[in-house]
Amino acid sequence: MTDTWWVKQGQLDPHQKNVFTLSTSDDHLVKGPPGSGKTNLLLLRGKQLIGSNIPNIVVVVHTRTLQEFIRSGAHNYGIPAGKIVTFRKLGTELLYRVGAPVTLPSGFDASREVLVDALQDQIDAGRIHQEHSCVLVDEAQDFLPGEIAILRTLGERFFGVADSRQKIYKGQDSIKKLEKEINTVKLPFHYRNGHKICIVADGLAKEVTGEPTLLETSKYPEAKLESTVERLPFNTLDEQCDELIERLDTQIKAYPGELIGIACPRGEDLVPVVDRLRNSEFADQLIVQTSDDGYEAFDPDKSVCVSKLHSAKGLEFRAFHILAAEGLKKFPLQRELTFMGVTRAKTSLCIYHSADLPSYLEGALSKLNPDTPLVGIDALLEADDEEGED
Amino acid sequence: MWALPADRKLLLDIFSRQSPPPHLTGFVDPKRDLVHSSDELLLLWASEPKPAPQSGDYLPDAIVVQPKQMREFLAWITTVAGGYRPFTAFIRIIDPQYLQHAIEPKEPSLGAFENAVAGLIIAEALTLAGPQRSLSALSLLPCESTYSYSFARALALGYAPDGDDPIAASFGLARKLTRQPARKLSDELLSTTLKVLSGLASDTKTANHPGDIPPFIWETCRELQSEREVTQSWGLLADAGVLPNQLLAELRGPREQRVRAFERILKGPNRLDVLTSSFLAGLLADQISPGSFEHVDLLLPYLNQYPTALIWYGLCAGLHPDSEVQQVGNCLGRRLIRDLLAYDPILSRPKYDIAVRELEVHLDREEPLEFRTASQNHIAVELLPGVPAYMKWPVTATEAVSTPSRGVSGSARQAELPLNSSFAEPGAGLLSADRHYAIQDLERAVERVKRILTEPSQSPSAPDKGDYKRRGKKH
Repeated sequence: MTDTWWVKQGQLDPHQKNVFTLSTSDDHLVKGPPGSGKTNLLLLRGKQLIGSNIPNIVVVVHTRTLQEFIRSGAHNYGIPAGKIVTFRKLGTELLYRVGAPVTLPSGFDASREVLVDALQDQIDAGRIHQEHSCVLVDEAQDFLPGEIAILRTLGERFFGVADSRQKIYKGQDSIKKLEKEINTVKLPFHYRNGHKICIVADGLAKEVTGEPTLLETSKYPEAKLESTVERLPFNTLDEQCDELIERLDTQIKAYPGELIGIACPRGEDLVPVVDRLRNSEFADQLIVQTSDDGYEAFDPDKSVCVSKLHSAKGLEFRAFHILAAEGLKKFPLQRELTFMGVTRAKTSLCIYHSADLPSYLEGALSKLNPDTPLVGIDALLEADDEEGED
Repeated sequence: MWALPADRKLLLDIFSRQSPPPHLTGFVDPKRDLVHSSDELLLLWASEPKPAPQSGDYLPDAIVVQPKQMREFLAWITTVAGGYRPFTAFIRIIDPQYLQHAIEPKEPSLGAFENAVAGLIIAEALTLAGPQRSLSALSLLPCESTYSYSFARALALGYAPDGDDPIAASFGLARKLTRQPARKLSDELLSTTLKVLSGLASDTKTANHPGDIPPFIWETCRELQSEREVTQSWGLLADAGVLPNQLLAELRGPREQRVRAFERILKGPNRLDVLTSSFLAGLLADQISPGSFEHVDLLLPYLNQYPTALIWYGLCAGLHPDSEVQQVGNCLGRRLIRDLLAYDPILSRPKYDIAVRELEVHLDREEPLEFRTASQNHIAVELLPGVPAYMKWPVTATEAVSTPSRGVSGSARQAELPLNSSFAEPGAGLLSADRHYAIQDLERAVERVKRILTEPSQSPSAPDKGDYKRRGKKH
């Protein structure tokens, strides 16, 4: 039984319950590690507002895949799917409505800047005003300070959830500023990641803040559902796909009704993976989320989600496969991207590669076997052959 | 409670609506005087008998009849009280052994076995469902038409205190009378599971090993229930050479590893008997995610080889103290438990179509009597006071077998209720017996036509005398 969406009182811990005591007439930021229930609390807040006859809310996310994922669970909270939108969609529609449509450039970073500037111009000109009783923002760390400022203008109240360690896009950190301006609540515990996944994720967390590690704050039922992390080197991407398809067969049986995720850091690696899967016995199980193939609604009868690693942000999977992981090296903020990717997995994580992994990931994976004895000199050096001695 | 020893004349007075109504005298203290009463009839009322406002009837809530007189009495009462048909849809006729239950009604209870019962019932319904098996498509009625459901209701009402099966005879009789086809699951295959359940339910702390249950099955189920997981019983399995130690270790690892081990074991050679191997298959499925009952699909390909594997899986999953069985299928199990624990004292109006002993009077005769059922496609037969069995009704000749069997009939078709049957049927209330016998007539006619057409020596244009005779008789 999937535990992604939870709405019952008994499923909340005291810290999560505390979020419900927060006033609806103030702005709030909820911070917590991956799997701490932030998105669920965000949606429960939306449910609370709608139930309190404040239906004019909007849930804003950063990526289209996350929009589709949250929409798939929104019915559990009585939130109409149309109220969950990306910032890009929200912004371009507003501009169109006020008669100032904008053509966004193709580059990701450039398009964000153009959109923010256009929106801010309209706000400054008094043509865009407060639109919503409350703006609820998921993965708020991924929004630029300018985007956060616009969202705060659009909503009478702001409710955001964030985890600075999962910031994977370039641009200024908006969370530090936000923390100074509005009430901030922290969730200490998380429930998603199995212990082995926590060990790798903790190995990736670069800063030493004195805060407890994911392993220390995990409430994952490891005794009931043992977690695994596997590093799987292969010569080619095609061989990686062979192994993936074999594992999918077992995982679909082992985790009925649960999502299994497949992602590649680079789009060019994802194309052949999608091709192989579409020609496999799992073709009718696929939910493909790419800008090339389009985005589709999550379907409870389909259990295999394929996307770029960036698009997996905010999602969670019982088993997660990162293919062509050497491609991580290509990206800025790659350590954060890897941290985000690793923490998508609840129980099973497989990292496939056909070239060297980034050294920080190698180091994090090595934490899984901390007691491996130091290799002795005899094993390092070849034995002298008898002829040489002569 | 009010009790009145009576004879048939008094009963006739009550049902003949005399005016003024009969004067009822001679009430006795039920707790003191009734247990050893030898009167022909005992009329029981939950509260002081009063004439009904409109009809003036003093209808009792139940009538106690000696077992030897039961059939003859039912034949008599259904004849003289034609305004109440089926009679047992209005008034319970009970055997003296249920008198104590009538005098001191108790809330039904399954104790700590609610999940085990829910698992067993859902698993039996899925096993019987045939190729279209699907937990999500399974509705309440097919579950409540299982043998396990009727058995569990009897268990909840305290009718099986010593672990015996109190419904075996009446369930078989009801199926025979309503011409149900042979069950896919024979009573023998199912009985061990039910014995384990009733044995554990009888006294979990001191339950001794019932002699006819294999020791490792009994010990494993006890351990699942009391220790949350199987530990020592694995030793029994390994010692008996049933499973190699290496595979047992794999079944302790990550879930994917457990699935692979499970499939390797079930696909491997099997030298065990059907009971042992089916139990083992169900137990291993449960060990993939103990108590969850979410791996039904894994067992489905193996049901021909291990016919009761799913049923053992349901029981094992339900025995875990933290079992989630009641929540599966959108809380299907919870609904089942609600119905199993519904309070239905004997001294209240029956809630089912007819009692099995009256069904016998209506159907076990040359010209069956007509009666009304609540649904157009199933009948609710009361096997014991408050214990129903839901059966497909009417059953066509193509679905039925002429001689209901207790054993497995691999090729026999099964007229079980469809997966998504519901209690509320459009057009409910038609005379089911009318339809039943009309269908029988039609089927007989079709058979005759087939027979005529397949007799090569006879031409339709020149029928022999026999044909004329048969036709003449029919028309």
